[in-house]
Amino acid sequence: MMKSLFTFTLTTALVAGLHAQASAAERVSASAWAKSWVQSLNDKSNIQAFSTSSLEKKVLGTCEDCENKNAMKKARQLFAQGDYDAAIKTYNEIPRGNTYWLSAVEEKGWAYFRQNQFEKALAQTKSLLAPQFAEISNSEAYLLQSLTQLKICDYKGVFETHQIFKEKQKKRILEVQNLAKTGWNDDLANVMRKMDKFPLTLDEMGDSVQRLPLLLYKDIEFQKQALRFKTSQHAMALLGGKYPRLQKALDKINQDSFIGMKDRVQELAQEETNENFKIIQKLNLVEVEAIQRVHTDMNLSDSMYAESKFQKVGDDKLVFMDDGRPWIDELDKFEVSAKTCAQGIRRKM
Amino acid sequence: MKNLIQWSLVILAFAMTTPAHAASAKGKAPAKQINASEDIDTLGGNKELMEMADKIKSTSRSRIVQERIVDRRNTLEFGLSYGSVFGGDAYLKTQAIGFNVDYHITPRWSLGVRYYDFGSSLTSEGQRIFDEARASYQAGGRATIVDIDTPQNATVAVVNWYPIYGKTSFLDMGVTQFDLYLLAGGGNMTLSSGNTSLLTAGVGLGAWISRHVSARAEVRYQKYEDQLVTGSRNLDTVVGSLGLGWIL
Repeated sequence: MMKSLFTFTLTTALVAGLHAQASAAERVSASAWAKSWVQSLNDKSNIQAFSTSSLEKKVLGTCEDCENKNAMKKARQLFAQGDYDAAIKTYNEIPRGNTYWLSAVEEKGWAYFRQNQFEKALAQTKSLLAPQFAEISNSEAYLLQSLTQLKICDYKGVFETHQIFKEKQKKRILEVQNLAKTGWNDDLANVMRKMDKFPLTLDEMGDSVQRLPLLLYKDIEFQKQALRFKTSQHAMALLGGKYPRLQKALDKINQDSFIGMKDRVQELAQEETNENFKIIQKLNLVEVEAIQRVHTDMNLSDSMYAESKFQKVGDDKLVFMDDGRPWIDELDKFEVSAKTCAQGIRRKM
Repeated sequence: MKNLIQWSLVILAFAMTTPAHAASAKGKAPAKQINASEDIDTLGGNKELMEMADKIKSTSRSRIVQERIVDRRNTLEFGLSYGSVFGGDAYLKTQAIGFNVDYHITPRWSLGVRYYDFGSSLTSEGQRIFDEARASYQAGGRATIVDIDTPQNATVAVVNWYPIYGKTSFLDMGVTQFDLYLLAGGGNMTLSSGNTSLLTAGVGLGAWISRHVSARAEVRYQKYEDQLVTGSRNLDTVVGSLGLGWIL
């Protein structure tokens, strides 16, 4: 079948998410808010101390993207109860392009894994590790794929997944680990320079999202500190040396929020690093197991392997071969067929 | 001791398959330190192992299965097209405006009725012959007849078969699915001399732009017989057309 190709970039993939996010809540500009606060100082009858608490409540206090957030919560509860079918159904309610979508696909993959539906689990990781998402996906997605490939004895697949993990995630993992120590890097500086509207969206993060803790822009504490930092910074610039006492107070708020922001980034980066550490340990275990099995399985005959076939599809569906470069409309449309482990061999894991 | 090892394996297996979102609530864990050269660089990439793994028969294949943008089962499509006739009478330039109705039985098969209204004008060669004849007549010579039989309209019934599908993206604006199809049919054609039967066969591309809008490009061979003063003549022409459709 034919596919004429115009490359979809990572940016295109992300843009899909931006629109859903941007339209979800009314966003407030930090610079505009600071300007109106400075203007209010000229009105002697209405002098207000600098406080962003009401703004924080307005911008960050409301539940953003509640419907999908609740769907994720419900799906996780169902997963924890072992009701995987219902969990999968609920994960499917998260629309593609939503910021929870990648998490939903990954967790759906784990649900299939728990049901021993390894082909369906692999179909999810195909989406997660597609070139569009390979650098921003959770490292756990790699573990899911690697472990599933081990389960179906696709050892070559295991080694390939680990190779891709190394290529796509190493830089990010080390950058996040470094952030856990310093709380600051060039990407965070870039993001801070550009950000103005709150609540933050993926749009503000741009490509920097690859070198910052996952979902940093959704973290309420980070956003709160960033909001204080940006509004106080704009207010100080607009006052231009007037009201020295007020300037001093603003400077204190600015410094405190900067430290608060760095602390939060460090905290999130450390949490992610701890998680990455565990994942890498598990990947190493999978690799050791795969190496051992390669040596034992090498001489097994072809007849010992059962081949599964793709399900027949009707005329209403279009089938395209997977060339490793899926289009954006093809993500989460994967089907996997495996020639699974040799029959009649007992293994422990 | 053996029991202890077995329990360790069970715990390890459970830990391996417990995703972060399902892990139980944990306190503040001590800071971990990842060593890139020891922990990450050792993963994958061993050529010998890859070659050995390649010899093992278990593999997995993947493909992409998508829904069609337009449900073409039991669906009607109305269309309008404009095209040109190539070949045929050397003295005539003929254009065709077409009105189509297609009934899609399945995404693979549809039946259609097409009405074409033809408009013809003289080619430069036709004009030259015509001018010569008129000049000869005005000069008192013998009046020669410019012998043409212009097509007026045609109605044909066709069957369409869509064996090949694909999709394309135009300037990243969106993905459009399309089908390449073959068509064959027959009907009636009205010429300036009267009615004649017409047979047609062709190939086309139908692009499903949205759930309700389609675009078609079609090249069709048609065969019919026209009547000249000297007698009847078989004509083999090709019609190329572009059209837009509305899918109900």
